[in-house]
Amino acid sequence: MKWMKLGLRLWIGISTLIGFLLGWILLAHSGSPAAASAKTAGSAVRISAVLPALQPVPSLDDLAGGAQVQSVQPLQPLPASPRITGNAPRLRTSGS
Amino acid sequence: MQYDEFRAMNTDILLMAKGDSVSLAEGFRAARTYIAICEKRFTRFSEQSELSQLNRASGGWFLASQDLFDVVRQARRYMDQTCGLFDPSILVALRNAGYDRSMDEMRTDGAGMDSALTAGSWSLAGFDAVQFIPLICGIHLPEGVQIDLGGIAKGWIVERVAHLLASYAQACAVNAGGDMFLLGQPDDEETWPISLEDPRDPAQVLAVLRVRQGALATSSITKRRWVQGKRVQHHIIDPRSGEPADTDWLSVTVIADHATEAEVFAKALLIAGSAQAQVLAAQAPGIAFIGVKQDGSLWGSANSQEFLDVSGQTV
Repeated sequence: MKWMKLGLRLWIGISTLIGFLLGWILLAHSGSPAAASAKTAGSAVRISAVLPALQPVPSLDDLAGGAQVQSVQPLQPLPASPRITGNAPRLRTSGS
Repeated sequence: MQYDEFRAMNTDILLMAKGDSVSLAEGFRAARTYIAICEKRFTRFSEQSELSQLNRASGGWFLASQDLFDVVRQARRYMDQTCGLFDPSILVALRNAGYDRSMDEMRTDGAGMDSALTAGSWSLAGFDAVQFIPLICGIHLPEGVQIDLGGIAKGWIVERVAHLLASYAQACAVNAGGDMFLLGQPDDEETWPISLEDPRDPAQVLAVLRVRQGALATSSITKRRWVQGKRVQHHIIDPRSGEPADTDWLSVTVIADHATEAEVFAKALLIAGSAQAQVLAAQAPGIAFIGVKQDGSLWGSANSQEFLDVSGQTV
């Protein structure tokens, strides 16, 4: 029993010492608070960098000269409107 | 059919709805309140609006409401789809042209000129470089970019109001100065009749359109005009020049599924002119458009004819 108690104390002591030393090494190799804040700013930049890059806006002239124009239907002259009798509809296009 | 007419967002609002009177009265009240809230958020004429706060934050990240985020994101998408002819960052050019306060105020006091801005100082503002973080509704406007969401926000509000009003009605239509959204069937008819105004004389009707459901918007260079110095200016700015658009259309009406799409393409087609209209319209295959030229003649996409009422019947 006495040997068991001694062994347990020894094991706890060595574990504590090893844990302390590991913690010390870990902290010694981590960045300083200033470096940490700089890293945060850096990661903010990285957030911007990972945002999906938008494609440049195409030009209407490019489209007009491209193949897509072939699928475009010609502009239609619309028939002259018949004379409207009675009240015109209350909903009006107006325009802005 | 019951009506509620009032003025908001510097334009005439018409709410039309079919249903129980008590319920409709409540619906009209709710619609008015919602419009007032949205107007406060999206107006560029108030320093306190969320849009003005976003403009002041240009160059940095701004945490926006879901609504503002949604509209700005749609604006960026439409910028691509219209090949840059829709660009909300024409705000500086609008001010250059003298449109520096609401049209109601300009009609009373006349146009102004921002002394810090001079004609010819225009360069493409760079809205194409805007960035978004959807998770937090973050918007990053590039340094110096200022945006005006006037038209697209109006379309967005109109569609939202129509859906709100529809929860109190069997059918409804919302019209904000020509930006419309239609839901359900009106009295005894399958379609909503709509007068296509003559942009040369708004008292005259050029044609009657018949639309089942969805959105319709009209952009015109004859509606918001003012004199700056000796020049007659209008509010449709061509982003390529920073000047009021030089176009052979007087007005363009677009029928689409969504009000923002109708509003944006009406404006872009007006700026593009008739020569490039088909190419541009091909970017949004679902839309139909009708343009009015200087002589009052009507031109449109092949699918626009199905919306024209050729009967000339009375309403």
